Amino acid sequence: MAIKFPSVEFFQELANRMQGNAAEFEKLGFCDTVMAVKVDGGDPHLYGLTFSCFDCTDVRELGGADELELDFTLVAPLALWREMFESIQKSGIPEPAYTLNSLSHVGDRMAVVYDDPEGHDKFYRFMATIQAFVNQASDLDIEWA
Amino acid sequence: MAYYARDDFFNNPEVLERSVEIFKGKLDIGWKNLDIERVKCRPSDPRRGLTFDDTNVGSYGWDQIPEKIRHNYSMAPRGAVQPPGLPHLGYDINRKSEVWADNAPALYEESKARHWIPTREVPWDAVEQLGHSDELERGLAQLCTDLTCMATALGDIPSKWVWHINQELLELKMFQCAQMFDAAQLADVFRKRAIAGGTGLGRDHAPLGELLKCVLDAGSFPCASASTHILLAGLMQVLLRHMGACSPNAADETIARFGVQDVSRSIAYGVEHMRSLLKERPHESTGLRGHLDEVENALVGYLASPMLFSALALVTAGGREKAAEAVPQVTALYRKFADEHLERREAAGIGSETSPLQAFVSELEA
Amino acid sequence: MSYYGSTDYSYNSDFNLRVRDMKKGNLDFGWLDDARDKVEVRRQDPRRGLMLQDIEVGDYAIENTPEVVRENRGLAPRGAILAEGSDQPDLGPTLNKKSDVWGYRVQSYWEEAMSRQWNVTTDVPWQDMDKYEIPEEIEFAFCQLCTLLSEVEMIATDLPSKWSHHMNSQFQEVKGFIATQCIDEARHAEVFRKRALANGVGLLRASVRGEHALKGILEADSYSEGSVFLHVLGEGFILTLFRSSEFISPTPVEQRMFQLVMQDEARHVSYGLQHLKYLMDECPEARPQINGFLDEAERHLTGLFNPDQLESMIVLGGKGTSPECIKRGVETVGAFQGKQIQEYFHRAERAGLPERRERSPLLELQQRMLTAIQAV
Repeated sequence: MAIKFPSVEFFQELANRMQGNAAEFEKLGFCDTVMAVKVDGGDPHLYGLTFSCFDCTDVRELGGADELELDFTLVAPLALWREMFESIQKSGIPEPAYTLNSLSHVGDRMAVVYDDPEGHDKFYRFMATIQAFVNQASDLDIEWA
Repeated sequence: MAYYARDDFFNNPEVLERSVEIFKGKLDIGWKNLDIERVKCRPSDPRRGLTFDDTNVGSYGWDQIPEKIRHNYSMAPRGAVQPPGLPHLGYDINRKSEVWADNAPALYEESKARHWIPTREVPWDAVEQLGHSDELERGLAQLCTDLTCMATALGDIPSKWVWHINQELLELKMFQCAQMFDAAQLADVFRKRAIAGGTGLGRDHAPLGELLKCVLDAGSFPCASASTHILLAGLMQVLLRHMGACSPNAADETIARFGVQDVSRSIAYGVEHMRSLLKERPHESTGLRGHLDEVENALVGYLASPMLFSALALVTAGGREKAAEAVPQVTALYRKFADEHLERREAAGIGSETSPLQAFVSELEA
Repeated sequence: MSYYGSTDYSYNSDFNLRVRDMKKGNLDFGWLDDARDKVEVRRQDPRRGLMLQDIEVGDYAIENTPEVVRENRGLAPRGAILAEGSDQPDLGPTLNKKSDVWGYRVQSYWEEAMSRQWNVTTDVPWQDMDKYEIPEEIEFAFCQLCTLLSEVEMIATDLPSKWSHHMNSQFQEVKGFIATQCIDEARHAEVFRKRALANGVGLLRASVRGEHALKGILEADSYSEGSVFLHVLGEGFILTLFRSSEFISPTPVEQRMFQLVMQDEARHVSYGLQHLKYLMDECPEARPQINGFLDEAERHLTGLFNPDQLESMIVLGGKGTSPECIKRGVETVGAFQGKQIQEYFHRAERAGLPERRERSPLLELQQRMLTAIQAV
């Protein structure tokens, strides 16, 4: 059954898959960060993702960034999120231009919003886990908003 | 600031000019025409991955490192082209045999492949529900306290020396980094174990401090290597084996099993290092023997210290009441250690006719 | 031999008597009679295991350690019962002030580092290299970049190890954390070396200017100076370089390498930032010294922008050496450099050194370059 993007169900499914692939994530190590994903566009959405130990323990839609103590927020328009997930779905991992790092670094197509450089650096400290988390969508049937 | 470069690159117009040229798109790409040895190293065994053995080729390999390194005092990677003007990074260990052992690259690979995580891999629930007496726990905690000090020394030794070692001896330096990391993990797990058991850390005591000071203050790396890798790591290995065998607690068995693996890599390096050194410089054996005998003197002081001996007897017997009956078993443990230690000395080429350890254990057995 | 223990046990009658006593089973259990308060320690989260934070109780907690450690001159761990002063051999630690080495949250960095170790030999998909064809000019450029990275990474093992053994054992977490840094950085030097040797080229040219910067790091007068240069300035810049390199990587194999090294580097930057912050909070009198040091360190750092590195990244960024490719590469690399500088200022500001933005020579350098480029 197709899952709509963006939606809480979508990120919850990634969280479930993360739990199902425990060995992969345990190998990558602890991941402790509270981050948000913002899907910009005509109908913007903001999702809070809490990572603790080896899991994504909480997924929720936020009314505003101040509802959680966020380390950082990844902000991109819907079209870019779609391009990224479609790239992941081609071969299980994104093409170089569509990794979270490249998108947030080259031309800042994806913005990383943060208050504290320590929170910002958590994006890099846990980059492999967060990338593996979004890669869980590689064979997900996605219904685009 | 202790170091000011001779050339202030910041105010050097040529530097700025060159950078501007590059950003204008005028590239030199001189590195494409360098005279280098071209190699294609791939995993010889895909299950092992790309090991250092696979990259031990030609001018990039360690086989061609000369005994006296005269050509590189910088951080240029071995085999790279060295342009004129590279600074001297202050390395003062530049003789291969002073530090090298041919098994160091493989031991480095082994340490990564066999990495364990004390925080997660020890069954801590067993410590949370101890089934033994406080008395036995205090004996185990005392052993863990001593082992924490030893592990700290085991990390401090490579820390003290590695930054003196020429960068050409790269894999050896990497092995020392692995030793520092392994030792830090061991210090962490022994301390956690003592505290988590409820009775807390035990006592620091002078004979152990004397022993560790003798090891740490060795005047040369070969002396430090002999006393750290052959003597101190050997001592830790035997104490861990004993703790693992005597403790009724599953967590201690796990700590001992993994700890033994880690310290045994240091022993393997130490023995091979001595062999390589003495093959190249046999006359150094006299000094090394004398040094190890002297450190053994401090070791005897520690082995006979009331704290260690009684703690071992207590742990062996399972309690204070029957500890006296365990003296023969502790003596047997010391005999095992002395035999293994002397065998290693012999194998390394620094055997001793006047070993204080041998004399002490014989006296204990008499 | 540099130290001879105070007792020669081979000629010591007291010792011989003691050994005789031990043989008879007369054991001294005085130490068992010194009762200590019991502590109760439990894992807060069994899946994580027993974390350092879980054992931060009573005498064992860093909070209860004074700023200056005077009593512990040996290797006893924090919370052990120390031998009386005159009975305690002095092992000569020289970093005995907490603010000399400590950083906020260092315990969690230590646990994170243990948990997130990886292995170059097996975690990089070397077996996939044959799947991809890399043009020779790109392979050369990548090997030049690997040469520089392999060269600079070992400074981050030499500097921490130079200071670790001087640190008081009361600060075990810091010693532990910087030991993880040593192994992390050894791994980085390893991965770039192995990659340079894996695909038909090899290591290329070392960097004279870069090495002067490395010497500046290694020869810092104090641990804190070395840390701010290495962790905040140097590794901060390298972190951005790794991010850029992931993007310009020729294949997923190199991409994976950079994803993994980036995580380690970010951890080191975080520790450096928290150490600097702790130092500024607890020892504000160090501010002029740190600022004076950074004035020169930032000048040194310009050495890392050496032509070979810039050119190789431009070729990788533009994916070739044709004029169009180079134009594209220049744009990519130029954007990275501006980001490196801004991220550094932001970190310095957060650590309590907002004045770097005003007094740093880096902005002047950037301005000079922009002016020169625009003047053409």
